Amino acid sequence: MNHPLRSNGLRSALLLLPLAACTYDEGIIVQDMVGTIVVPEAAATRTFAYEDGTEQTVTDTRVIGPIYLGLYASVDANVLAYPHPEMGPIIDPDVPGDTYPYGGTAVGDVRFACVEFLTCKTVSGRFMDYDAIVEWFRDVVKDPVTDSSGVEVPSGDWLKQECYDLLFVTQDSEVRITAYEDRNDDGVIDEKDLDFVQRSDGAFEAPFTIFQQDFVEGFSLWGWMDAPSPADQSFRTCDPTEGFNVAEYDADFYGGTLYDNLLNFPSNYIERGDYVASTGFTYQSADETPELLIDFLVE
Amino acid sequence: MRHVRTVVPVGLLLMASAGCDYTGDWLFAGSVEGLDAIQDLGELPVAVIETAEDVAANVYRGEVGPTGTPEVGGVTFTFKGTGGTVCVWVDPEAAYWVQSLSPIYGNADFAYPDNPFDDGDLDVEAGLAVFYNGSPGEAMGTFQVRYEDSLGNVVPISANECTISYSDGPSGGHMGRGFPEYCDLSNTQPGVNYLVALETFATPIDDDRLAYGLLLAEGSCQDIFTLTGQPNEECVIGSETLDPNSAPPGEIGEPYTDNADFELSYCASVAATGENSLAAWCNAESDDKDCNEEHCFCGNLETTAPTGG
Repeated sequence: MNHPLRSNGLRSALLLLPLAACTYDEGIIVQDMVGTIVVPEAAATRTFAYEDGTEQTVTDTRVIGPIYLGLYASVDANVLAYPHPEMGPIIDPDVPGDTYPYGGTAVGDVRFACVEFLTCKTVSGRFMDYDAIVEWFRDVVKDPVTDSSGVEVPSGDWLKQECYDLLFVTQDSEVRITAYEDRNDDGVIDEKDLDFVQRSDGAFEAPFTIFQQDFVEGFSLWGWMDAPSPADQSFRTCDPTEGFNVAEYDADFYGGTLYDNLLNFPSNYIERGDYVASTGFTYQSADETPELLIDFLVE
Repeated sequence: MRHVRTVVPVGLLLMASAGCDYTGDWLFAGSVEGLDAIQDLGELPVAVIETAEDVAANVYRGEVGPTGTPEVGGVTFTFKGTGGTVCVWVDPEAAYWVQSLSPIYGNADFAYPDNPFDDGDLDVEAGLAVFYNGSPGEAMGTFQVRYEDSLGNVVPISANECTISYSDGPSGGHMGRGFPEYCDLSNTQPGVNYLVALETFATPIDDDRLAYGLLLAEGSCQDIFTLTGQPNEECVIGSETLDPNSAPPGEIGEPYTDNADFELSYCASVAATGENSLAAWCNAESDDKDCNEEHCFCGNLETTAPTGG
């Protein structure tokens, strides 16, 4: 008979025992960081002037452009005409200093909206359904959505079918332009399931998550909203020459995609009419849940 | 006895390790006597280019060799900022192409193979001299500087202002062997020292003497390229391939007599002008020369696939 200590099972157990007690703390904090962003009612309000001389002032989530959030070493109120993250050295005189962000995210994504007319004009989390897209441009902007032949898109259902056809999908959750999930668990999918919800004080708020962020004590959360262009409702942060490519029959266009250095060089994209956070939120702990106000109108 | 059987192999292993002095030098080209591998040209003047002839008149010609070790070699020089844009244009010998072999989508102009043994490669970086961390003439460096943000976190950043351009493709990176590299340094600060580093990426296998042509001029490289009227960048600086028999290493010799003709054929073929086919030029070279005895810009057709074009 073997001595008990010669049995492989017992020897393995003895080896694993001290390992089980081992927990090595690397001192690195990597976790999801959550919070809320708030845009003032004015940032969701726009006055449209029509050719017949009439005007219409609208407050709507569809006026709210994509919000870009970055984590920076600090926010400087004096370097530009609006608060802006601190910048590194200027290497090329034609290029601003890099902000060297620690991380970031966006609330709302410029999405492919299936017709060339909408390239760089639609943000996820703003439109309840496809009808809301068609109606917005037809009834409010007074510049109806057209197809590749220049014919006015008749309905949301037509646009939805176009998206399903081009993307080879069968569900709104795969297109992700419209509200497609019951985020607030109230049993229905409606306007309250968009990114932004209007509060009693008129401001709009939205939750954000920065996924798996490497935490650095003292870094600051800062962000800005790319407001739609008054001229054609497009977003400057979107590159119309890139993105999903459609090349079918008479349609030949790109669906647009975000530039890849928005957080590094915000000042390249921020222009008159955009909103920025007047102050950054400085983190002392990764568990803090800030409320960042995007409240400074760039003029 | 069993003890001896264990000790002996261990001892042999240790002896073998002690004799191991691995540097990897044998992987690299040997140095060329008389030809420095790390050179500093000092301060060069910034030329004013007004005509195509001005380009040829202001080309600096040089030659650099390998270090003979894994150490990086190359050439540095400085110039004073002008207040405007300065073009740095470097053309290493000679011209390289990939032979066209496809019988379906072939390019007849490139049906003849290149001589891959006569091509070198220089990679260009440039920026404010104060950011350069090499020792000109002693050791090559980079423009990488250590930026520390207000939280004390260090970000290594490159102060290299030279973004390599190419007329027919995206900017950035470096061009391949034999092909010119050029870039603009815009809004240079008047009177401030700028440094250009030409890093030797590869020397020609045939003689390890990497000849190059260099142009440092006011204005944008694209404007200079347009001014020359050449169909391709390779022909902006012509005849940069020096005949090693015309001068000993370290002295600037003369270009091969047929260098200019060769480059014109190459450029015309790249630009698909329908004239001066490179394949035809190579065929003629093959007929006229004994490439086993003389330098040939084109390769050996017999060692490649028979089809092409």
